[in-house]
Amino acid sequence: MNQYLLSLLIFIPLLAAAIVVLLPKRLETLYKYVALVASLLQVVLGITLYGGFQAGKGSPVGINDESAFQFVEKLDWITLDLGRLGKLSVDYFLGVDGVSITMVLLSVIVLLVGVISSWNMTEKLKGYFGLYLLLNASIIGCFVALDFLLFYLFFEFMLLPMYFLIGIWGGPRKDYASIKFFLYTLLGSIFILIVMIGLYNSTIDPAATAVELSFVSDVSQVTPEIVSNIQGMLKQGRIAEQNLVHTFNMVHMTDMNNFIPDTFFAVIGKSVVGGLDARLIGFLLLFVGFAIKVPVVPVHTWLPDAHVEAPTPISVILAGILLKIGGYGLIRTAYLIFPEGGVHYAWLVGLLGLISIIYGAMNALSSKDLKKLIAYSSVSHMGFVLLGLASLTSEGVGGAIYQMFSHGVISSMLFLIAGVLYDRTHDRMIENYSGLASKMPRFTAVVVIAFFASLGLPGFSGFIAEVLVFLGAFSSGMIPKWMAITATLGLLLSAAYYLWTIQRMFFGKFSVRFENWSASLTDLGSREYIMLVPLIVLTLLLGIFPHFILDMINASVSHLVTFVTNTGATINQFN
Amino acid sequence: MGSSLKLELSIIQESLSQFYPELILSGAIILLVLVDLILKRKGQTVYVAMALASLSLVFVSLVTQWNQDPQVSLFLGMISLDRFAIIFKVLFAAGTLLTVFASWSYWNKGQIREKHAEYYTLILALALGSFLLAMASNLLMIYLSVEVLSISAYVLTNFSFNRKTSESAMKYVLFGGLSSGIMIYGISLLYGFTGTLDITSGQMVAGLLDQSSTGEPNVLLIIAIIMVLGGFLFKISSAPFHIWTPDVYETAPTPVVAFFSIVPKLAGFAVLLKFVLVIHLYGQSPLDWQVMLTVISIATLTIGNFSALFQKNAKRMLAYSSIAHSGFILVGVVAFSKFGMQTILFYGGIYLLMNFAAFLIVQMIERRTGAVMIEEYKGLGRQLPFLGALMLIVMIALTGLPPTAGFTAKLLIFSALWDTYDQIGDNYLFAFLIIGLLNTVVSLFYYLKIPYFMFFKPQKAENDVSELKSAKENYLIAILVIMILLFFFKPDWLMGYLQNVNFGV
Repeated sequence: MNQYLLSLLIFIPLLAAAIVVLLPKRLETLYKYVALVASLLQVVLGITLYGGFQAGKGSPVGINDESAFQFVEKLDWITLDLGRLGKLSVDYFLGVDGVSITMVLLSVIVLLVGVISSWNMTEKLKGYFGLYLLLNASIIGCFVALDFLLFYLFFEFMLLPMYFLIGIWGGPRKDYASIKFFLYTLLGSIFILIVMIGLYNSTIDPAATAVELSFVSDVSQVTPEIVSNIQGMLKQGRIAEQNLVHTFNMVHMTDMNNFIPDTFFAVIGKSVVGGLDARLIGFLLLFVGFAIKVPVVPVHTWLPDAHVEAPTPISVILAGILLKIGGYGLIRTAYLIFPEGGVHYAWLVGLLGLISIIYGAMNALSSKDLKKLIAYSSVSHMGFVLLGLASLTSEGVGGAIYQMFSHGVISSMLFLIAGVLYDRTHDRMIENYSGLASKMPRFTAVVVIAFFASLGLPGFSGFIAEVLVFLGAFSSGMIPKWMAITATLGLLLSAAYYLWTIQRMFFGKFSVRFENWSASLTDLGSREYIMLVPLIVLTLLLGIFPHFILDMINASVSHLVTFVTNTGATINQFN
Repeated sequence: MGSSLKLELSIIQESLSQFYPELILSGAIILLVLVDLILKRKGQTVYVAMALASLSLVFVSLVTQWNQDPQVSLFLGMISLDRFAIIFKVLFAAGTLLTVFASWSYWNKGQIREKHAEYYTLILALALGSFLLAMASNLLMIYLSVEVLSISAYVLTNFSFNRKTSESAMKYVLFGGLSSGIMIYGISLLYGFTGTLDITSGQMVAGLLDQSSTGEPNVLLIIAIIMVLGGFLFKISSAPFHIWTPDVYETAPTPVVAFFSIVPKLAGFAVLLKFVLVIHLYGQSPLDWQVMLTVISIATLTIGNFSALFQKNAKRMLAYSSIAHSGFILVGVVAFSKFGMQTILFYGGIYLLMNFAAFLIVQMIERRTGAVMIEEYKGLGRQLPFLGALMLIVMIALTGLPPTAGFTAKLLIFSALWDTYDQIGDNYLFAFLIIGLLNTVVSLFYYLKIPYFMFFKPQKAENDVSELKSAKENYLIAILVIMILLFFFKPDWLMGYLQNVNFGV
């Protein structure tokens, strides 16, 4: 079963979506059970994946080595013979390494929580759960795809269910928020598409090219010598154009020897557009594309709108997983395919991360809507991911990935909390509440834990992540020290807005805006415990035993850092 | 004298053997008129049956032609037959077939009870004109085909016979007449410069080269070429010759509009492709037509997309969308490569599927509920989730998002442009690529408007949709949508054929 594990993870929700669509409407109470069973199965598979994943010294690291990915599945999907242009080949190519497995695990957990939090949905259930499951499948697909086209397809396909989930089940300004979300992210993916087309034109699959040249009869017989042979011939321009097998394989794209000389993204015979190295343009385009998703200031403006209007479970998915696809995409594509861009623009990435941290936190401080506050805190915390990446040290990059996981868990918790309040009063204005602690003590306890976890108190996962990021940022030669120093301001600011919010909403004498609210403000119910407690346990667990994650990612991360810095330096030497 | 006439006659006679599809169409046209005269049938069934039968025969003969893989010049160099033309003809035949189906259901509840025979005759005549245009290699033949096609189109526009359609038909006639006039003037100038009308002949190329050998562009020659080019751009409704499109599309009968948006347009592209390859002169032309076409394509894309943003009428929006799609297909023309041509054919095929599906849904809603404004689609998706889902997929395909073949088509056509850019290295092509793709984002906004009203807005209470639910068009649309999805997962099933296309030019 292990060899189909990743496919199962993608196809179980698709199957469940089909069941939801086919089940007649009078059984609509069953839809949520279908979604729940699918999500539970995914969690079981996720645990299997975790158990079967080889980590530690000497284990396969993935990153830029196709044979070192785990749970690999590879099937031919599209092969088009384009004559002079060679062959176009797209593979159904899945696999995980230390970077992606953490994201897959995070996704299955948050998706399960999302289903539980959708339990009280009453409107148009068929559409809701159908779309939710489609979203689920494309999220998983995005994290495990190793073929750029496949990745892009999942990446794009995510937008559609999300658009409907916000636009139909959202709040009062849902129309505006949903189309804004769609347009922004589509704009980002157009930039990614441009680079993808260019990369496809510029890279070859050496193994398949060897087969095309009849060096061997089958891809399985290709040895490393043959590959380097082919790459040598490619460099000297000794392979005829019609024999070049172009590829969307992201792993091949990380090897600079696979780039055809004198093409747009070529390493040898670089193109220059408008005074800028084409490969650096490629990095920037990918960066912008994924930065919209992360989101990075100044392209973050869709996020507060989308979050405020989205229904609670969708906010959870959005903050918990979708933002991580931005960070993950940056690592998987921008940094690995254009490592010199990562080196060259480290200061820019770091600076934008820093701006996001500070600007997001200041906006959170001034937010009057609890959900908006949490949304801006997401912008601020995702800034740490950029700062960690920019440092290009093992600590920093590891911290960035840790932060993505930790923020996924904590932000899910925070949006659930906002949802708890909204369910009861349909109002999220901070000023409308005070002294909730006396009325809802257990809820208050949960809120305090979640807020402390988010502001990075030791003992919680956020602390580990931020410490790692700062360790990386301070020790990095890539970004100036003042960036790391200024970023600590972000910690102070997040302590400020969280503590101030606790003080305003929960402490003091109980009073709410309207008298009739106080009856509906009951303490947490059992379903809410089921959602929140595991997340609390998880963030504590990861705060106390960071090696659960670090062991998984360490080998891959240090390989990634070495690869990016070394290759980046080598390519820069070519200039 | 006598012997050369005999020779010519024998050539014509031989050519007829390669001319079956067109002969079948011509026969069907005559037969339709005769049947109408003799039987005076009121219903349309008999004419539909005849049209369908003739089109099936056309398909059979096209398949035979394809298998023979011809590369011949027929009728004394008037037309040339190759797989490039055959693929186009297959697309035209498919478009015509769909149009006949759509018209069948459209006129079942319609007003033109008396004129069915004329209607189907004109549809077939327009198809014949497109067939000839795809093959024409002589400027005079091109002109003739354009006229066959246009005159049928003018009359078809007015087939609802009311004030509004008369107005737009009149507009169409005036614009069309003017553009043909200019075109024939350009043709006569070209003849004067080169001494030949055969665009595939060496004499034409030599003549054009000769005129530009001084290095200085011959202004008059360029004006002549632009005049001819204008006629083709008019047919593909590309900017700045697109002004007739929205009015005609808004008022003409919906199946006719669907027909217009596909068959004559693709025919225009077929001849445009041939013509630009000639005037490009293997890159020797003093005026860079690639730049020229890039500008036209950008203008078409931008005007089409931005105008579509403000449309409230569904058919009018689709009209601007079809203008924008002309801009996308022009991207493939700008690529100036074999790959570019293949992707144009691929795009054309997919465009046929998606545009027809879109117009079919619009027609179905218009006929069954009377709704023509996008706003009136309110809540339809909630009442009829199946139809809503079909419409959503079609709109997503027109935008060019996965998982639809609309995405594959855009991906391929822009890959072709990128490939050319990699060869030539002119940076304006890179800018073009980015502008072209960014236009997709603009188009998303208006394409989503339809699903937006269908799903996000509550329905009107009095809306009766039972008729819409049981309409037979649902099946046809579903088939088209399945094909749109299928060609996303298996583009090789279509591209496989296109790889075998020889471009005789």
